[in-house]
Amino acid sequence: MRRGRPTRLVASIVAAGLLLTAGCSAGQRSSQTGGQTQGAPQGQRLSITIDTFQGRIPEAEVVANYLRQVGVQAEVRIWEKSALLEEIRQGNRVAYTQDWGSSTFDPYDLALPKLKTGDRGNYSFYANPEVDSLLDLGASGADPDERRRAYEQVQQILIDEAPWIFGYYMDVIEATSADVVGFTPAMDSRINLHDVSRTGADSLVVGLRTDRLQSLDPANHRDRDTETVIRNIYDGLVTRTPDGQIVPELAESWEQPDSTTYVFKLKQGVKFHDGTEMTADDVVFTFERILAPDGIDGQQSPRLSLVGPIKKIEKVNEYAVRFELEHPFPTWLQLLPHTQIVSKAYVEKVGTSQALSEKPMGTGPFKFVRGQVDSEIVLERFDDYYGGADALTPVGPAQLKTVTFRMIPEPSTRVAALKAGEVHIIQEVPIDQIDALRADSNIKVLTTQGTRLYMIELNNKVLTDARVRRALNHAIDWEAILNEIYGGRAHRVATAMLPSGFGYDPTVAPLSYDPDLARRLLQEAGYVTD
Amino acid sequence: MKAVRILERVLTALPMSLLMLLLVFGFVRLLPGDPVDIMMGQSGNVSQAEIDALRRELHLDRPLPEQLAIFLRGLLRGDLGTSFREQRPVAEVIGDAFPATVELALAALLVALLIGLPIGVLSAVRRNSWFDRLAMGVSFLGISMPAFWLGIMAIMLFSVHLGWTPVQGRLSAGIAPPDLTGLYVLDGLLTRDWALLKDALLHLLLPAVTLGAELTAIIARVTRSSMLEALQMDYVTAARARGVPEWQVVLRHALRNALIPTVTVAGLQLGVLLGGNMIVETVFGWPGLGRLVVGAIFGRDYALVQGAVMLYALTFLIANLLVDILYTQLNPKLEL
Repeated sequence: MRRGRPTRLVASIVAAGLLLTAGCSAGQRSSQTGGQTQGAPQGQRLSITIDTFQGRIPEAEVVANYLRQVGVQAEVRIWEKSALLEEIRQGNRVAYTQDWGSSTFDPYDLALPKLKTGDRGNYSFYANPEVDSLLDLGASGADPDERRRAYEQVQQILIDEAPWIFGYYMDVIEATSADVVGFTPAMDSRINLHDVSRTGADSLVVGLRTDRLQSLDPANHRDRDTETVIRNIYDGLVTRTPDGQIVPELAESWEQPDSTTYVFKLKQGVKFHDGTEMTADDVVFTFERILAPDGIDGQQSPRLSLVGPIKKIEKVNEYAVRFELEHPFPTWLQLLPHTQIVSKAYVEKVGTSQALSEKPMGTGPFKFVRGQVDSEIVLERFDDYYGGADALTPVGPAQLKTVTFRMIPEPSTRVAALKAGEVHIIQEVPIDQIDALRADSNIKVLTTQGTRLYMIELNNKVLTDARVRRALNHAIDWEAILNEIYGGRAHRVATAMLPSGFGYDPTVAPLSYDPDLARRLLQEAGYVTD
Repeated sequence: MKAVRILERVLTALPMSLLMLLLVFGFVRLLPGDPVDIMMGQSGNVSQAEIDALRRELHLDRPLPEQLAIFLRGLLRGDLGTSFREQRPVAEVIGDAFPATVELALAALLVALLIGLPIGVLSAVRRNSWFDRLAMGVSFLGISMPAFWLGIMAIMLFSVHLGWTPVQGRLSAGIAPPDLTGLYVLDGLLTRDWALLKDALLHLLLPAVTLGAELTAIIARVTRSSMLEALQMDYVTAARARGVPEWQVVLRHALRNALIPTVTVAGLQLGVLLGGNMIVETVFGWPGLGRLVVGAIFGRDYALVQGAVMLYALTFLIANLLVDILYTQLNPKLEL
């Protein structure tokens, strides 16, 4: 926040000074004692406070217990999440539970912001120039094999250097009433109602986990749940199948003449809900609105970074547009489903983002009827729908006539509403209720992989010795934690990359549970463990 | 004369409100945590340009005194600012949520008075009877039961197992809310839309009882003890001696005098209820102010928190004023 530049300057000078002296003394000592690092006073226990917040407290307690078993003095401190983050970013904390979501199925928006030196999400202050350049290569290299190798190399380095206590990802668990047909939970947590129907009924209610949507203007929010609703009203050039494949939606096809140019051919005869035809002008307008520094009522759209490094977008003809990127960006197609096409004429007519949000209008399978962002959004089938992505059957107008999204932030209430038949699809079933729902013949429980990574980040400026960080990894029996606390609904990952992401290397095994090794590593680093 | 007094009261409350406003302005900014960080979420890759733009837009790049000046200038024009998260005027965001809270608060108060008062009176009249003991036992439960648990249990029993009431929301999925007062029960009455009225009432029932449970218990207990005192008074004995029927003695002579503490409690609680109840609103999917404000605090939506606190100040002011006016009605010897 606005803490003033002088304070920051002083802080960074002090930090730099500390680092410098630390580096010097480490260098000196290693020449004398062979690998002995600074900051490990001889004959003391390692003392660590694990900072956590609501939602991960039991996990942190158990982790602290495992650490105590290898002779670490471990405590748990509970925070409010945002307050903790502020402290972490100032470098005041040592070990903290954190999580980070990825939406492109590529380390580009996970490992890169979390581990590249000085990047926005790098709360562990990890700094390794080799990893930096490998991550950059992975994110923007032109050759897929080269990118894959770069990411694999990063995983090798990470498992050695263990900048975090590596964690897990969780299953996305959703449930429907038994009469819901054709619903597949998507890894990007989209609820695509176009392909869904209900036996014996043509209306359906979805219980959303959020308490309010941010906006129904597709260019004025930064929220997955908001996007879930928006994507039933608006379509994009491309969409993503439930298992993460990019397929054409409003686009007929695309080609990529060189590494920075994409040309999209648009489907012809696609109608907006007001009956006008969607053309290349609308596509160009949609992207320019997000790119312009004053595109949203004089402000920058919060979705700027989600359109990627676009240098230029131009209309080729009524049904074709050309994108030019600043630099090769292989993940670009994976970002594209997150931009939905608006009508140029309509947006200019309603004038403001707020007016658009109150009466949204797109090319999607459902048109807006009424609703408020804090309670419910009611949509109705758009009969002139062009059919949607050819790859996602059935193609054609939606099967449901009326769909309603309800905000039900309390999980128990969502489950109760599903049981009572008030809603037919619910997001985020609480783990402790899965078995009871499974036993209910009126309800189906559905699962897919989540794309959020959970871990315990370590402050690498404080815990400078990789042996110590590895020891902390080896000290914890994650299988037991994931089974006991998360009911087996969480799955271990070896490093900072998700199995669903590009370049994941399944041969890199997670650091094993080995308390003896952990103790030995700590002793090597100069700590007392008994 | 009375009108002047009331005006006086309102005017004296103004500097108080301003002071509180300054406190809130300072406190929300003292909270550690960065609004922009929270808005951008812990995911994906966000560019520095976006973060800077957002800061500029929210005036977070200005020094604090300047932020305060911007806020006060807006306030003089009747502009509460723009919600960070929704980028809509704060007054509008609050205006959308407030009717839901008012409806729920009034219903909860009504439930509490309708149940709490008679129980209190009866317990006092039948002091130490089995009814008294049962009522006081149950009211003890009412006070100590967490609203969260009570709400979930009520949903499980009445909505899921018995199917009598809906689980959540203010109206059933097929029913369009009228665009009138925002209080759907009132709207139903005004438009004589009986289907709407019934649906709104059914949705209101469980949240109102859950929210009102604690207040019911408090009112029952307060009424009981002040009734016990009043029933010992000389004027009650005198009334009895004159041969006034017992129910008249209880209701007209004793109760009227015993009501002042009850009115005080109910009035203060109304202020609390109007602030919204995050827990009940969350459990019953009720889109009210409590949920909004708690979300705003966690999201560090400074403008929205400030606006909501002003509204709280106003509701407390009005509730207190109403209580004082009621006092003078109950006891003409009292003056405002």
